[in-house]
Amino acid sequence: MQRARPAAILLLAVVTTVAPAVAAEIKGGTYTSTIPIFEDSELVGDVTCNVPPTMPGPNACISFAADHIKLRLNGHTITGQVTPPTGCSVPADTMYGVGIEAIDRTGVKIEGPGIIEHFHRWGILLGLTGHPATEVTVKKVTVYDNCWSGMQTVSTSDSTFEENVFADDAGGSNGASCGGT
Amino acid sequence: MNTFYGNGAATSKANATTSNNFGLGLLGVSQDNLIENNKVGGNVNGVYLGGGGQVTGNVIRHNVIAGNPPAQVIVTFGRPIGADIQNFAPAGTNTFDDNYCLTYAGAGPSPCPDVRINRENGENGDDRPSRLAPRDDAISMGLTTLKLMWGDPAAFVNTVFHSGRMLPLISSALRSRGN
Repeated sequence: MQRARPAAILLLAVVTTVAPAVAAEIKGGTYTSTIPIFEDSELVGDVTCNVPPTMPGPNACISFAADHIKLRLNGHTITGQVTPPTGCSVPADTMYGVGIEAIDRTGVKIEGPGIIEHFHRWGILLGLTGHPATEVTVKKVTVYDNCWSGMQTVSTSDSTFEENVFADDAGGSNGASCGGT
Repeated sequence: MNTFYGNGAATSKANATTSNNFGLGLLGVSQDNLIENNKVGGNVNGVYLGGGGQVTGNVIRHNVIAGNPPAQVIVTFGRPIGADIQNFAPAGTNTFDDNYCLTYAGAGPSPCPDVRINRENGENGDDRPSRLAPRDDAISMGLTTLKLMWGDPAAFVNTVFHSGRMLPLISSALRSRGN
């Protein structure tokens, strides 16, 4: 019987070690609480979010819960609960809905294609006052018809936004200065 | 390239003659950002720079900013309701360079109208003017010291809005600085 050579064993070990990690799947359907993501994740269906704004501050559909991870939209749509201008947040609101949030995070990425639409305030929220976001990438995402800005950045730095489409946002900002981004 | 189309409402502020809505806005403390190679059209305002004196050091260049606001919005709400570039920052505190734009409202010399750029498709078909190569001044701006922002409604700092081809040049600039 022929014995395996040490080099072949080493090669097998390397191949096993560097095999790409499989992203966690976010299944399509209706969600009524925030989806936290702790690792690379991807949508495998359209998501409808009926997350009630019950917590002070942003109540997100999907929240980055770790640094240096990626969310792939895979061509799917994330839809909130409102159609502007009806039902939109007013500036005095202390609780409000957003699509995707990355707060106190660094090195996270949202990658399209995909659509984020119909949220109570912002489609994407990066950072909050005193809770920065750094080195964020948002790429090839369509952010459409959200009440306030399509994407809001606060205390956000060293980030890159490219090949995105911000369309028909800020249709119900109720006096807040808002827009695409 | 990012595109900003049809964003904002003329009626966001009740009974106002100007709108504070926009395609792309820099508000609060927004400093040292590079906004490059974007298309901004059909919004109430195209690019909006807020007041307060802390929207500074931003470079807005090589963008196509036109059709802001749409004609029907002007008919209904009056011409002052918006502009391609609406600038409430102090004159000279931000740089507008080679943007295709038609209307401007704000302090200082108007950067619009400017229709000089060659808008033939760039090599990636992204309408980037081929003669407008990134220059060292903007590349070095991307390397400025991070400024922490607290208590601001919005802050972009050293943020880059651009087509994807800027990054290799930034890398090359970093290498050359290390030599």
